[in-house]
This record gives sequence, structure tokens and C-alpha cells, in this order.
Amino acid sequence: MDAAKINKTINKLADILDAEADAIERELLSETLKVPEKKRP
Amino acid sequence: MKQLRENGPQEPDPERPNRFQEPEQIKPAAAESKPASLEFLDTGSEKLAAIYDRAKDLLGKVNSAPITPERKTELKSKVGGYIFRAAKLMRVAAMIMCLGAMHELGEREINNIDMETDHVLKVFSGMEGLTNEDKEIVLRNALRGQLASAISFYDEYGPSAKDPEIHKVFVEAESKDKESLTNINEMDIQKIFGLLARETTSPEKVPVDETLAEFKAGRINYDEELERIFETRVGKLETDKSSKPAKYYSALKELLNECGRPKLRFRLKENNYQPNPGEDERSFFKQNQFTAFLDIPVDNYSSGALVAELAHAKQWDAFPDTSDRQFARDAASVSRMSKASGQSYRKTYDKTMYNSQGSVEYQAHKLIEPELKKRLKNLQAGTAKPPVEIQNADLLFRQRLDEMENKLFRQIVENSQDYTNKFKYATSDLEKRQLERSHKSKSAAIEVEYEKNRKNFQEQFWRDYKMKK
Repeated sequence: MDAAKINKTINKLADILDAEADAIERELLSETLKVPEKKRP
Repeated sequence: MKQLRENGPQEPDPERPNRFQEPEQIKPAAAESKPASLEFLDTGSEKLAAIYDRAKDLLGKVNSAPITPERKTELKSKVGGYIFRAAKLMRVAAMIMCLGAMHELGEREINNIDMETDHVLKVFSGMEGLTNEDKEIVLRNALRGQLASAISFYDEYGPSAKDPEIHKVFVEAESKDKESLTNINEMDIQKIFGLLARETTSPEKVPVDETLAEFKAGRINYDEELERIFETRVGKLETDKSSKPAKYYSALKELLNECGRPKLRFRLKENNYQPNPGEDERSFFKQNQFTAFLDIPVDNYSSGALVAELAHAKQWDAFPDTSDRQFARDAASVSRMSKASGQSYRKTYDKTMYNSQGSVEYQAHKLIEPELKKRLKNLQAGTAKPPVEIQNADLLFRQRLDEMENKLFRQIVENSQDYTNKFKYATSDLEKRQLERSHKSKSAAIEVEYEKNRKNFQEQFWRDYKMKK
């Protein structure tokens, strides 16, 4: 396996992880940006 | 929008890893640097650190977010999963990196040459000078011869040279034992060199104890003395800067690699007293060690000896079996010839082998060596062509000879088996004697016939070869 392939593989793995972190962040943002609903009596 | 225009385009945050960064282009690893795959240990660990930073950042955000505690624990467990997967994936990446590094290191191991060989190559290409060790190697054999006269010198001046240390050296030298002479320590070598210098350079012999006194007083510098003796006995080595040493060196290295990467060593010169009969004052190639023993190139870095011995390396690298067998054949025919002519083995070998087609020496020096010389020139000029191939005629010749020899061995074995079988059941002494006689005459006949066939085949083969050419 040459160095270029190794680099590609590592970058791919890092991309997958980044996507997961992005998903978590998006979820968090949607939670915080959500306008709290007024409690109905 | 207004705000953005005022602030200008936003600078990327150096703290935060840029995940849209293009993968860096990989440079091929330099010959002496670490493997390219190991360079990614750095990028890999950077990435891992970035992932952990991101996870920390996320956890902080989750903690400070205005959400319910249940939701917080849910998101926290998601971040935990992210970290877990990061560690797992990075471990896989590390394994891939290690595999890549092993692969690369393995390749490098094959392409590597040992330090001494590299030094010899550098000396030949004018990049490095000779070390003290090289000079000692060259001179030590000269010492062997000189010590004989030193001993008689000692005998002459015996009463005045009663130093027990130097006496020990002389006793060791007198035994002419190879082991004891190669194991003499540096102090003893210095003393001997001192003695030799005095003996060979001054018109009048200087007594041993005077020389010793000078050494003890430190008036004789070992390095200078060694240099001087080397110059007087071997010659002065000029470093030739005109021939672009680096380029020459890389060409020689390439040639070495193409010839199966043999080891190179400087050999002992000026065998006044030959330690091994059969070794003489020239460079030689030892096929069982796959090593070329070379003369120190005093005459203007002529790579002649090096290329000549590389030809043997090429030969043994390409066809070890046929070369071994042919070498044995050559030796046998040379010993036969030397017996007939009354000349020494070495002399007969030199006279006949370099000109007889099919011999190891002929193949190496008449067929392969000129090709290698051309190849070296091309490599130096940068006009690289495919590597040299060994001509097939010699190989075919040897294979045919192998077949003939196999037949001879079979006949000899059958004959002796027949003899032993009959001998077992022989009843009288007379019968036994008759059997013995017939066995002897039979085996002699077999060998005579083989010799005849071999000679005929040899002549015919090369006649045909010339005709075809």
C-alpha cells in the first residue's frame, strides 16, 4: 500500500467522523433555536 | 449583509480544524528519510487531536444549551459514541499506516547496501578518502612479509631489543599464524609500523629500542607515519573532483544494484607472504560470500577492477548453479593442465581461463564486463537503457555439459554397484582380483570416453556458434 492510498483512507475516515460530529451539532442547534412553545393553560 | 460587508470575508479559524481541506499531495520518500507512510503518523495524530477537541467543544455546547436534562444526556451519549468511533477508526488508520511503513521499510531493506560497501563505492567515485582502517588493511599483509625481515633484524639487534612487549610481537610474528597476526592490538601495530618505517626508509637500520623510545616519547605520529608508509608502498590517492563524483557514485550504485548487490571490501595488497595460496595481488570475487575484494584504486580512480568483479557478481547472481559447476570444471581442467605443464595452478589459470570460451572468467571478462562498462557510461550520461542480459550461448553450453556430467556420474555409480554386487558372491581370491581389475579398467574407460566426448562437444559447440554468428 503506498503513502497516497494511506492518506486517502485516513482522510475518508476523518470525513466520516466529521459528518457524525456535524450531525450532532445540527441536532443541538435545532434544539436551541427551537422557539419554546407557550404553555397552554 | 451590511455587517458582513463591513467586516470583510471571514478569516478561517485556525483553532478549528478545516474539514474541507484537500488531502495533501504526498512526496516520494527520500532515500535516507523515514518512510512516507510514517510521516502520516503526524497527520493522523493531528487529526485525532482535532477530533477530541471537537468532541470537547460539542460537550461544552451541550452542557450550556437551554435544553432539558434528558435531552442533554441523550446528546452527550451521542458525543460519547462519536469519540468511541473516532478512536476505533483511528486505530484502523494507524494499522494501515504501520502496514504501509512495514512495506516501505521492507523495500528499503532490499535496496540497502551495507556501510562498508557504500564507503568503498564512495572511495571509488572520489567522494571519500581512505580511512586509517583501509590503509591498515592494505598494509597488514605487507607487514606479514616485512615481519620476516623484522625478525632477522631482531636477531641481529637482539641484545639491544629486550623490551618484553616488542619481544611478544616478534614471537607472534615468527609463528606467522594468521589469527594472531590479524588480532594484534593497535599498540603492537604501531610499533611494527614504526619498525617498518625505519627499516624501509632509512639507509641505515635504526635499532629497535631507539624507534620504540621515539614512539614512547610521542615523537612519531601514528597517522602521519601510516600515511607515509602507505604512500611509499602503495601510492598517493588523489581525490579527483573533476569527474562529478556524486553522479558517478549514483551510477556505480545503480550498477551494483543491477549486479545483485554484492558486498564490496578492500583487499589485502602486496602479499609478500601469502596467507592463502590461491589469492594473489589482484582483486577477486568470492562467490560463496558474494563479495568482491578490491584493490585500493590508486591509479586515478579507475573503476576497472570494480566493474570486472561486478561482472562475476552478475554472473553468480543470474546463474548460481551453472556458474558453480563451471567453476569446478575450470578448476579441474586447470589443475590437469598445470600438472602436465609443471607450472603453478595460478599461472596456468591466468594463461588459459581468460581466453577459453565457456569458462567462468571468459564469460565474466569477455562477455559481461564490456557490457557493464557500456552500461556504466550510459548511467553516468543519464541515457539509461534496460539492464544488461547475460548471453545465452555460454549458458546453453554449460547446461549441455551438466547433462554430460550427469550421465558420467550415472555410469560411474552403475559400474561400482555392479562391482560390489559381484564382489559379494565371489568365491575365490582369483575371481575377486579379476573383478577388481575389470572394474578399474571399466571406470577408466568411462572417464576416457567422457573426456573424448566432452572435448568433441566443446569444439563443435563453439565452431557451430561461430558459424551461426
